[in-house]
Amino acid sequence: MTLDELVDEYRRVGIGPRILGQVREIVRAVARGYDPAVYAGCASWDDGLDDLVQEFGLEVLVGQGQLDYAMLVATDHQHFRRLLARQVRYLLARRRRRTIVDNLIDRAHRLANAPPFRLIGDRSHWCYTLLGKDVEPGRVSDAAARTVAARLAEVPTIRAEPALRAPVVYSEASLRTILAEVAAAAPCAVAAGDLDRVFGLLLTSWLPSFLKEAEATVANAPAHGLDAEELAIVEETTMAILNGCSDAHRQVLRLKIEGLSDDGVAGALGLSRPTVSKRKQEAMARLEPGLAGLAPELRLAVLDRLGVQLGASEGGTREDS
Amino acid sequence: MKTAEPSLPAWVEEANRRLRARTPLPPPGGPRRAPEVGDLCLAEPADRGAAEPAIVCVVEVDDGLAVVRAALASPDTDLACDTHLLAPAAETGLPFDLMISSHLTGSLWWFQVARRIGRLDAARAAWLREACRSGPGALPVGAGGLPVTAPRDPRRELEAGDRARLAALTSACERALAGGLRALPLVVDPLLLIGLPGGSDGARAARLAAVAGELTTAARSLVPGRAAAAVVEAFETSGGRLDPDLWQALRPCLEQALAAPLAAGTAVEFEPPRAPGAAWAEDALAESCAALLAGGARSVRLLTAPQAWSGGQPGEPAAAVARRGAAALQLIRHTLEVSP
Repeated sequence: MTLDELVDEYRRVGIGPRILGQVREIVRAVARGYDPAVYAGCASWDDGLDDLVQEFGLEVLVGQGQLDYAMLVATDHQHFRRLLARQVRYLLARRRRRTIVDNLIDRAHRLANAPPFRLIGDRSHWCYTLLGKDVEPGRVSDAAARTVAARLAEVPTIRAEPALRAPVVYSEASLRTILAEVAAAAPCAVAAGDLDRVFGLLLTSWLPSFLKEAEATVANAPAHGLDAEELAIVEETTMAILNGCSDAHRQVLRLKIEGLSDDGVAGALGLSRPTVSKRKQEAMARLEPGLAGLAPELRLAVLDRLGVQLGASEGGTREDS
Repeated sequence: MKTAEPSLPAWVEEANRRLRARTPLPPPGGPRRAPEVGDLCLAEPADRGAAEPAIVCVVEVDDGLAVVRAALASPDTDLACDTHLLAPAAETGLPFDLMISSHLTGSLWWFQVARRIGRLDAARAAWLREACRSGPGALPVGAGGLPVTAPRDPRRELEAGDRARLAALTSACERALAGGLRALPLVVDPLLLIGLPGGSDGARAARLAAVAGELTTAARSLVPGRAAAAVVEAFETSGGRLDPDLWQALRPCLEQALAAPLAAGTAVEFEPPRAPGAAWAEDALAESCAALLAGGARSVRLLTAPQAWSGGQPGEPAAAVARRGAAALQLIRHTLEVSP
């Protein structure tokens, strides 16, 4: 796969089978480093991956123009994948922020139902203001939301454990302060959607924190000295190679990665040496396209990962020639 | 755009319908024109492949040096701080929102920002320019992101990465700019020496005298070696009336040209293309550009004449570009002025 092939498909149809294939691989590889319970609300990524791919495709690649951006700046296939992997991580971080903001809005609704606030409307369309304040119709503008959020940036927050799905972020007193400031600054009643924007802004500095926390959970990061995008590339390349290999090829690959000679492999598998040699060549033909274009340190990491995966999946069966 | 293949999931069809509805980015290779303040461009490294491209916004244009001062932009608007100007897609015509850093700016040659992808509206361009000059306080309230207040705000680390990304694009230009315009080598277009069509011997002598004047005031000058022989010929046909200063400047070139065989493989492409002219003159200029590129130069002044170039479209930049492989040499064109 080359960048030119992806660019050609993008120009002809938008998202076609090639780009979709890349998106699926990258989303799967990146998501693997994140806890599905925290970032997808499900026990396993097997249940949440399709939703994530669709959300990434529709909301990020198209809705936020990130496919156009990646096609504009990518210099080669690997760069394109790195750019997409980065955006998957941002999407996951935003998902987590979404959960936290929803939680804050629920708490705000409860607080707004008591003095010094006045709750207006029903549960599905509520807004609030300060008791005794006259309000105009309308919504809080984006600029006003930014202005008030900037004033509230130093309200103390409560840092939480990375594994917590929806940390509280603000104590009740801090949350009350925020609600009062927003209501005082707005000429209109403050709706849940307005609070959503203010909380989203206030959590700006949390977004990169989520990224860092998630990076720390990605296996082997310190050992390889690779960042999350590179680990994602290693993971997806490894899976692509394994998916392209038959069981017979995998057995040969595993033993060759372990350092056995062709004779040793033949002995271990109960095959003739020429058969091993033939299968080794076939396995290499599946390995080489995956490794081509990768930096040397990534190639080594892929081989390490292949060794781990092949070792883990080895069932000890022997095959007769 | 055609429709996607039917085997793809239903959401892909919806995604492609939305992609077809948006205004696509302008493709590369559009008309050449001088950059303007507010332009959003894809900044390329001076040597293709030497760094990753990035989107920048032009905040100042220097016509004399053919450089811009540009601010780094990024689509990661969720991470904006108060030093960033937010530029929503609806305002720029781009398919993505941008945040533009008012404190991460650097200098780029015009040829590095030749690909223009959009523009800031006049108000935002003015805010950004002012914020780049006097600090983010110049941005109107609500036009930027949230300030970085906590010492451990992770956005500080991200900024360090952005700084390195910008430096990789701007360092070549920044280094070359240190000496100002006069420090850039002055190359004489060989066509000035003899190859321009028409003109009497007197006009040619006046032109050569003007060239001599420029050469004597330049800190570093370069007369393409192959041209020297042609000038000697002109010297002989004009009855030995060549300006002594010009002769002094040409003599080392001539000696060099006679001592060394012509370099092979000096294929250079000019943008805009050169006007059809004497092959020796084109070869001589290409050879000099190739040598300058090999020596690491990325911008020089070129003493030339409008007739030496094709095109001449309104708004076309004063700087031409000579490309050889992945490397580019900016030729800041100075039109030779000849006293009547």
